[in-house]
Amino acid sequence: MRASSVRAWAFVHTWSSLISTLFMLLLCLTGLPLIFHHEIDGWLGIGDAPAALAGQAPDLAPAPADRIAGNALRDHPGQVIQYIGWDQHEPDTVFVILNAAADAPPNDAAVTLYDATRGTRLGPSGSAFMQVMLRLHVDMYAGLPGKLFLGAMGLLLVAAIVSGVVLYWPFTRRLAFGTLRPGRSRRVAWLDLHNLLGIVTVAWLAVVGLTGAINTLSEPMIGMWKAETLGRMIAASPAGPPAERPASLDTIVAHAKAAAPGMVPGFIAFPGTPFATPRHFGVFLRGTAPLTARLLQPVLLDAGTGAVADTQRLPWYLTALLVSQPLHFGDYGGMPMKVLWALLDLVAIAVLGSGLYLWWARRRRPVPALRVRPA
Amino acid sequence: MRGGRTKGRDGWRAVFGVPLAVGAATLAGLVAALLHEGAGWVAAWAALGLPLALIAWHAGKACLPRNRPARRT
Repeated sequence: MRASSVRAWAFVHTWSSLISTLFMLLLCLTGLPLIFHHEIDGWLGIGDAPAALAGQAPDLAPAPADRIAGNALRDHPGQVIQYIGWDQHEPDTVFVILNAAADAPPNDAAVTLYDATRGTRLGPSGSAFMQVMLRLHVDMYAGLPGKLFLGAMGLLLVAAIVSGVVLYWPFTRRLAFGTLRPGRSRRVAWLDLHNLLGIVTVAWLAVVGLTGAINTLSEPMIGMWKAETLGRMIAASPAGPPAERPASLDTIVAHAKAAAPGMVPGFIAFPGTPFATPRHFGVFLRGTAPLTARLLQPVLLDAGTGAVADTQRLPWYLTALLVSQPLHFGDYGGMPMKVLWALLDLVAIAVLGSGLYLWWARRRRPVPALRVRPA
Repeated sequence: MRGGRTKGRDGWRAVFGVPLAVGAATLAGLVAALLHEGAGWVAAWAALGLPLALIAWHAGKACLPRNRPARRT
């Protein structure tokens, strides 16, 4: 590798890293508790279903969705239901998302958990602490521009990863793999550590970075799908006022299940919400196998009669979004995977920190590691 | 670019061999856990543990030998 191309790659590596480092540190630090959000909220006593705790849930039949919806509206006067859903990992609870209006912004929504068998209110779905971590991680309290900005930082991270892998060659080609020289100067010791930690975790970091960047595009993707599918649905439905008396939720779920055999409901989107039309309920069903449970099949049903109006597969970009999510969250391999995810996150923090140190140290004394040695 | 490779140390395989194997194992493990809940999970744990084990091994190697009494040649 020529010295000039090493300098060019080093320039890319330095600046793509420097610009994104602060935000990457924020993402790594807020992501750490988010890996364990379920456990942390559990310790804080959020969402414990008494029936499940007593081990008596399996015998009881699930509460009708209509009863849970009625309880939720009674518990939250002045609010409307946007979504009711069933988390595949939480068979004992049903989540209800309420907001000031059907089309009110998602950040204003309150997610409340209900007992799946008794239909009684259990409490908010997450602690205030996890909510702050989530907002800092997802959009830094800046809405869609914040998300897209973090997505751009994710792309800079990918540039830093690629240039880092290229630079790994000139920096380590005279060394055995994994050489650490703690006895040498502080700069050399940190450089060795930066190279080792970076190169062994590069595949993991690239996957988490890319899937995170994909997730920042979820809002535009859903908007695109809505324009394609829902726009056609609204155009096809007859004109007139929205249904005065909505159909029974249990009828709607039964019709949706019949339209998507072998699938179970993931969530119901109420008329007027972003995942439905003003005149239709949207029921999103999922499979029951590990991979198909990630994929959703939308069924749109007439809000007044509950008749199935339309069902078709999600477009490829929403399928890609849904499959990319577990690869970003690390929540699909049990507790050992979460612990490994957290340890790899800590390694990423060490790579960021050592990189920052190397940049700072190099500003004071230029490049000893790359000086040309006499043959 | 200098001519005359020193044996073994200078080839791309010596530099990128281990990283490529670790990277391939990571990707395979991440996909395996998506596809199978039993064996796939275990494969993912092993694959994600590999980079951490390598870090621990090389960190141990760099710090510990000086404390050992005899040096073997």
